[in-house]
Amino acid sequence: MTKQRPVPMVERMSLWQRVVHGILILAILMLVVSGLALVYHQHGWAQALIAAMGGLGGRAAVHKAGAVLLVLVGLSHLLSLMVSPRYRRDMRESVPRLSDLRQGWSGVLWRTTGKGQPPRYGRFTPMQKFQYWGLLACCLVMGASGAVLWSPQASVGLFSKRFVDLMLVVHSSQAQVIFILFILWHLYDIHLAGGNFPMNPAWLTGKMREDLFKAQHGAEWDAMQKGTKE
Amino acid sequence: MTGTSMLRLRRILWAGLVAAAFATAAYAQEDVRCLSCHGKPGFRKTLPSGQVLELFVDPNLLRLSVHKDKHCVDCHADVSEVPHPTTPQPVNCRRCHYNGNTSGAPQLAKYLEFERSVHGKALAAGNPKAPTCQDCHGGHFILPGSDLRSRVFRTNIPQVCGTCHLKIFAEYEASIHGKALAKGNPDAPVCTSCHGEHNIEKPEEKTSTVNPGHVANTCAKCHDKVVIMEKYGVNAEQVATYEESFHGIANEFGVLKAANCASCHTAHDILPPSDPLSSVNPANIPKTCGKCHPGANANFANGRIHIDAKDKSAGIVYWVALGFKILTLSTLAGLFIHIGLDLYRKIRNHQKAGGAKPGAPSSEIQP
Repeated sequence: MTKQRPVPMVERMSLWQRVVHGILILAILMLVVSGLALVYHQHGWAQALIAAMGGLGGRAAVHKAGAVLLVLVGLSHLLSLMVSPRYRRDMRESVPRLSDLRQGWSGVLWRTTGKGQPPRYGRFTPMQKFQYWGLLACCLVMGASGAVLWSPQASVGLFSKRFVDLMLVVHSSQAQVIFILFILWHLYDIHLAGGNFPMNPAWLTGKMREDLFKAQHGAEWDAMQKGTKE
Repeated sequence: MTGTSMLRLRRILWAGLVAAAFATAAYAQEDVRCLSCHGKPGFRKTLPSGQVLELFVDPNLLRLSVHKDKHCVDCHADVSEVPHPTTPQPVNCRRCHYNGNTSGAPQLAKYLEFERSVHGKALAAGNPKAPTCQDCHGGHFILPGSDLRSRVFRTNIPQVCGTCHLKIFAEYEASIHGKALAKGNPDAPVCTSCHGEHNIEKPEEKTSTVNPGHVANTCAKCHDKVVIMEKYGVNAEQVATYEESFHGIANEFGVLKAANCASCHTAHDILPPSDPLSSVNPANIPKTCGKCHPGANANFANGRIHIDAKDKSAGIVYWVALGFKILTLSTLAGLFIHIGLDLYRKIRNHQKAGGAKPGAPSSEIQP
């Protein structure tokens, strides 16, 4: 039996990033599970989930704990940006540019017609940039509406019944958009598409396969080869 | 018709008439002794408490009742001599109304529910005010519930219950339901529509139709029926919107302190929101909400209580919900198109790279 050569890997996530990413997954799971259970409370599966969380009070506690955890993730992100050069570099890389629109469009064209070359993305693909900033914006809206719904009774007195109803619609509807656009889409792109199936291990080991990295972040790979990037 | 058969018919008719005459005589014979006193109008007795007990029984009314073929002692079975030296015991309807009786007395399962009802329990506990069958159905002039003159005919029920429940009767009479009944409205609910009949239980009992956990279902018997509600311009979605509200969901999961229909609309003096006296008139909303939410202010009345985000009546809430619905569906469509295109390119590249050959892994890898 011949010994297989180890597959060359590229570092993608630091240990700290993986830890925070893990906490983010936990927070989002808590929020999604307890939130969906409330929205679909008339269905048997939702009722079973609510019972598993210890009834309506337990469900609310899980949702609020998830919210606190998400806020903590956000604060740690801000802190990391202040102290970590790596975070600041990633932040610079994630600034949307006009070239992202061009690249994104050429990506669509390449997929549809197969003509030309596949797009060579940088450290973050246009969709990843959109998802980063989009999720940030959505979390701010979810946080604001969630704060109003934290105690509906107090909020009705402070604002009005109409405003609380509006926040309820915003909160529950936007949650569905977030679920599709930032969770399902992200899971597909990162773990299923582009040869990553069944999983891109970077979220656990911090590393992804070099051949995949070259294909999916071509421009970044070129820059790394030239030595302009680590 | 032949002469012989005419003769036979005549004989039969005569025999029938004679038998009827004897029967009437027998009826009269047996009851006449009772009626010698009780058949006199004005026959009454004043109790030591000062209460006047009417003892007159109108034989004409008795003969119109469902018990027209019964004799006095069939019910007053403990009376064996006239005049009776002691006060007869209250009549026990169960002497005839029991399962398997041979007298043909109707016995429905619901009669047995009386035992576990609030009235039955009070009676068993020896409460002298507890009602018996006769208090609702009457004594000597019992008629089927379908008879307009029956005490338990639908429109007469509130008055019968009101004999004891005076305050509630007054509240009900002034309510939208009571007023509708007074106008002869066949849809108007009476006491039994919400509380049940023989099975009336205290609201605290879990099986009561007016237990906080069941109130919404009880009101829904009429209030989620479009056919009934559209006649009165009342929205039949009120039950559904309640079920989707904070209160409704909490109630569904057994948090019974959460508001139900009666918490806000009251139980007996329900009035339309347009009535200044209504508990749900906008001016009274802070006070009504304040029963559970101390410090409730006018902001509680700013917005619809029974809001349906899927209906234009919800105003801005409707438009925002609609906008999000379009956004959600577009996002979902976008994801499907993205996946479709991605798979399409993968398959095309795979074909170009040599089809199913195992040496074509690079076609899998794409940005």
